[in-house]
Amino acid sequence: MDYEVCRKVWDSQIAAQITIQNRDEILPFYTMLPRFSYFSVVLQDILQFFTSRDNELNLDGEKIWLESKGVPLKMYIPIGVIFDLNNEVEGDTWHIVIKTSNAPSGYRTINRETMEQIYLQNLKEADFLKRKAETIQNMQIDEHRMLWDSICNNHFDDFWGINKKLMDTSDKMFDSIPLRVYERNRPAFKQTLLNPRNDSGELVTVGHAICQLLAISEILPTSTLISHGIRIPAETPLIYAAKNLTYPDNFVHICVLKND
Amino acid sequence: MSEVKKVQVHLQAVANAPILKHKTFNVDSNRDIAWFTLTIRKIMNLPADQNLFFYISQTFAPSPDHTFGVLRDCYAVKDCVNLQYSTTHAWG
Amino acid sequence: MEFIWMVAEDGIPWRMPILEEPKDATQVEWEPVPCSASYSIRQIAASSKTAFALDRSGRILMLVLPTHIALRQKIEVYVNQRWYPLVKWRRPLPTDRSEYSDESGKLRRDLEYFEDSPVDGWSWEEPWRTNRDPRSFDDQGWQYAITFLGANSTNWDRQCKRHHFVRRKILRRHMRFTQHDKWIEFSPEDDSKMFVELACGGAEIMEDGEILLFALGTDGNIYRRAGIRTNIPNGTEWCQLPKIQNPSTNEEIDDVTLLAISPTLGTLICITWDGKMYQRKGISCAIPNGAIWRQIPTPKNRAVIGLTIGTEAIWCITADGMVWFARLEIDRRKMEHTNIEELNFQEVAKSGICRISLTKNDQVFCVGSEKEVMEVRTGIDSSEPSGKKFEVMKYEGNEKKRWISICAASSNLSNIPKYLLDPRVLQARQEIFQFKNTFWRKQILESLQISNDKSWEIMKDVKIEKISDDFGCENVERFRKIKAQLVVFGDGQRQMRSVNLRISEAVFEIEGERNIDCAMILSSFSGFQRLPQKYLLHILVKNEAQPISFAFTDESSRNSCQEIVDNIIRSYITTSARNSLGQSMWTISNSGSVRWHCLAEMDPKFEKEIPLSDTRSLTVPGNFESIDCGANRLVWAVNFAGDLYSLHPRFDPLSTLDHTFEYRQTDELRHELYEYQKSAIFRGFVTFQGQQKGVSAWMSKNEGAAPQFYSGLASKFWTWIDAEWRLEDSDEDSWEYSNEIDGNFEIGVGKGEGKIRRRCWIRRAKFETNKSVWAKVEGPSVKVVRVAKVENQNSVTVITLTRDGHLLLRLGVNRENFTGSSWSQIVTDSPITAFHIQKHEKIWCITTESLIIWKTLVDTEQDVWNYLDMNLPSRKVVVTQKDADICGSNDILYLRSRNVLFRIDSANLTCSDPYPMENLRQAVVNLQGQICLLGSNISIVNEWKVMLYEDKKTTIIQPRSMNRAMNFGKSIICIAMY
Repeated sequence: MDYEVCRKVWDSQIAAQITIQNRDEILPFYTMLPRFSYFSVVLQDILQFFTSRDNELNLDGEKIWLESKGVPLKMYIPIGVIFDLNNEVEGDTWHIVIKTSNAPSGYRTINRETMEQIYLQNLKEADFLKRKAETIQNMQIDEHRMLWDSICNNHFDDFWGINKKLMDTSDKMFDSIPLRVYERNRPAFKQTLLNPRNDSGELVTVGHAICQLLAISEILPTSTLISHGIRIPAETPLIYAAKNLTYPDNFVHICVLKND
Repeated sequence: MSEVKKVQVHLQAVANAPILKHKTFNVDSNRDIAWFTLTIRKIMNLPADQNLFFYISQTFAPSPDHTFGVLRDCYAVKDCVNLQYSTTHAWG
Repeated sequence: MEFIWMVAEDGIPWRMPILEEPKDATQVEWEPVPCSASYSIRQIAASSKTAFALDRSGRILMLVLPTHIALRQKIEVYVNQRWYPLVKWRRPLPTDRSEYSDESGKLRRDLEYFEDSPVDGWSWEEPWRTNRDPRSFDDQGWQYAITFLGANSTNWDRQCKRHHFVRRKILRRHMRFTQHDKWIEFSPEDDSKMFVELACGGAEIMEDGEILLFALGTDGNIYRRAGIRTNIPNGTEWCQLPKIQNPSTNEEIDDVTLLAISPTLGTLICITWDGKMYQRKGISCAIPNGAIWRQIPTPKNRAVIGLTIGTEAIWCITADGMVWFARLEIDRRKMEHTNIEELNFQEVAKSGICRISLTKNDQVFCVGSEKEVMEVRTGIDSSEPSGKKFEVMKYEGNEKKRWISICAASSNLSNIPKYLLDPRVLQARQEIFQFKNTFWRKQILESLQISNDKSWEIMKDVKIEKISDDFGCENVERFRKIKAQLVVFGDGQRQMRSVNLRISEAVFEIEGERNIDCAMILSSFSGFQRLPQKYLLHILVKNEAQPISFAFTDESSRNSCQEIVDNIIRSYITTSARNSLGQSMWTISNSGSVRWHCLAEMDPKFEKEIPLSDTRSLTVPGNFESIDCGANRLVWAVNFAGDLYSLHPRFDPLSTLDHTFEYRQTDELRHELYEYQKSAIFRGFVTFQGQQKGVSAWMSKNEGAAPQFYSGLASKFWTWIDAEWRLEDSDEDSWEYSNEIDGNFEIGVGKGEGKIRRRCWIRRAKFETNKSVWAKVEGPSVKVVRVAKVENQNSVTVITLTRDGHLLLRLGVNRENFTGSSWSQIVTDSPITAFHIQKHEKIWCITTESLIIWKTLVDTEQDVWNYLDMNLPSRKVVVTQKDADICGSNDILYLRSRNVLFRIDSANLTCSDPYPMENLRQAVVNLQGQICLLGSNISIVNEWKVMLYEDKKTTIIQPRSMNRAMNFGKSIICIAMY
């Protein structure tokens, strides 16, 4: 674990401005959202903030949904990934609206408990790709719980205390690397079996892996690979990204942005 | 890799899940689990208060955004995606 | 380098490097250190400098570990001549001493004797050289006297007068040890002695470089190697110890089989064939052979077959395989073990270990009896001195060999490093280091920082009233509110008053007292008060002589307040106009904290630098005793324990970019607490309340009045090493007496005399941080470091003065490689008190004999020093060993001795009269060559008025214009200027 990088990744936050639909008289809530967390987790506190300001405000956590720039925001994908897909860090805050109208069809409002389940399943999938889920299945339920709690409560040391078990390659290298690639304006992510080393035993770079995934021959200089709000150099070894540039679900989420 | 082809999906009931008549489906590779869940629910006529979960390799539940093209590339056995389904949390 | 030595079954010695934080497995790999093929080693004993190996045939081999300081010996021969009329100077008369002799003239020396290469392992450094010290010899190296008879060194004169008929000169040559890190014959001059056992230890009771080496001869006698010194690693001769006498029959006991000695103290125990133990009592530095043998009881009277002695622990193995442990008690004043004759052995294990060795800090390395692999005892610490269990070292190569001997005595290990038990530790480290310096990682780090900063910037710009900190985000209010106590002086006493502080970017408001314009805040520095315990923050404000002081009850509030103040200062510095030279000053306060002062701020009205007293400074993390800065903004510092550190060049006090540095900095400090007692009629000496002439009953040596046996430490980085306070001299008579409470105290003036008495209590504390911005530079203990102010091609010259007066040059120092690459010694004949690097090319030194010497820094190995031909002591320039500096610019040298400054013009050979300054403690120069003086104030002298006396040799000096800062000299202990 590269402490410097992991720490900075964990500490990355996005400045956000949250308003309520059709209630312009209510002052916006300004806050910093942690990239590694989920809307399902932070929504509770956001709502609490609004209701503590105005007791008569009635917001049903089960029915509201979130939208930004006209696009509904998924609650079960890390906040940082959602932001990177649709935005860049510019001079203004990220405007998010809490919508009380009917959600678009197919939208799922997810509460914290359900999110914990989804999170664990993501974690299992990642470990399944890495080493057939051996490590995660050998962990105690307490450790699963601790991982989730440390995400909710922003406890870096507690999280990595357990997560490093999932990142250990001292006995054996990972079978394949959990990597999801997103492209703007395409709803689904791409993922495939990616070996950390190539046939000659060298470490595969992120650039090569993405080329393989997207079935392109090379990364064009006009494209940038974004994760955690920064440009990821294509030369970064895939195994390094898998250990230090992941989100808490142990996946590397990269958005490929084409600058036209 | 994921052209709009069809992906063969085989379902297997777990625990008290209702048994389906047809267990094998051919799904467009760009369809995702969310859509698939809705479809199977309709086929089963599952009441709205009951959940439906899918699992791969009896280990994990894939994300609702997972497309079948990706599932085939990653987890297919002999070009077929095997999903276990249940109405309760089967594997955590 | 520290090693654990072991011998494999095949007779080849191996060693294992011990590193606290190895980067990867290659740094701590075990390596074989074979002797030549004809030797088969059976045992190794080692000290931290040398290893001794015993071969099966009884010969001893020695391996001297590489050192930074060269091992040299000086050989001197006197050349004597007599003056004859007509032929002038020729060889002396037959009745005189011989032409070549030693100093006394009694021993004859032949030059040819010294022509060949000296003893094995040594070679000559240079041909014969004449000693030309200008104080005692003329320029050809001769000194003259009336006659040889009765002539001692004071009769010899450097000038040849009419009545001088004899003369002599000294030829000098050095030999240097060159066979480091190889096995060489130990005592080739005496081939007859063969040995069967070795033991080596006693490092802490002997003086520098000496160790106790005992060996058991095949003749049954025990010998000690005498004459071992740092530069004579194999000693000079064997001394035989008297045989052990059987206490009941008084017969001599012949059958000793094993020797064991403590690596630190002088406890030597030997074991005889029948498993009995005998201690050689009375071994000390003065009496290294000890005084008498004494039998000591074995565990439950069983026969002992294996033994190892540490510092506070002793382990042994009895014939039935059982492993025993006992604690050793130490009398720290006499430096000896006190309970050897009443050891309370406890059973540790029933079997499993066949060989065992202790490190200096009582960690156990052993060989298992089943498979003869290396094991360690885990879990040894102060609460469990016998540890928890024996574990096999999971180390590459351990299980492939069978080990027959192990010696851990040269190691300081105080706990078993994790990597010996778990190979994954190193692998994880290796992964990190593999990528540490790649460009893509650096890019990722920078992008993360920039992106994060941007997000925070966006938030700060938004106009809001209050931000919820539910998600762990920071408070971005426009102002900060802090509660603190303001320290005021009233009625001659310090009092504290609770106040509320409101700090915004423009105004520092002390509610109810005053508002301070933030532009006037110059610097902050932290302090610690013991009685009552408070964490202090002093803020210096422009044009105010006294700082404004605040007291906090907990450290983190004080630190947050200091951070806010420093941020204000930082924003003023970064927005001010500064000149491109970037002059700066680094200071260290008396609590060890480091500050950087920006001297490059320009006064826009007058277009020159602002006066020194108006400069701002920022606190830099770190804890040191002395510091120097130089070219390329390199900064090096020395901590209280003598370790050397270099500041990471990416760290910029002005930058808010938070690069996380993860260097480890440690330090050790001895706290000294004086206990005072006054003599009262009829009651004798008693403690007292209150203060008398500023002295209370309990006084910390540096910090004033303190609570009795205090346990508070200045910051969270400090922890205690000693669990309790102990007396420096654990003796009733350690009291010092005086008649005046602020006068001189002397020991044992007589118990009845003296109205006040005091004694000193000691407790050690250690400093530790793993997030330091300073990287440690490995090397010997250092007193002072100097960094050249001018670059030398691609590197910067950095030289240190070690504690024993040697000069070491650090090679390969530049911004990319800021800790340098290796050491090279600048060899000198006599120890150095202080030195100065002129630009990058010359080094000036003042020796302990007040001689100024200089040389160019081109070829540091050769001994080509030039003397400054001025007899300084005759001009009242006497340099005290401990308290002196030398600095200068071009040909002008400034010499400070205590509180007096001398200006020496080395070109014109003039020296000034002493110029005293109140409380003068240090003199350094900056890049421009101006001298900066640390006294009660800090002053930079821009120009001197120099007036020459009639004798053209002495001058009087006066500063003509000075730049002086009045506000903070008193609490500073070291300055460095660029």
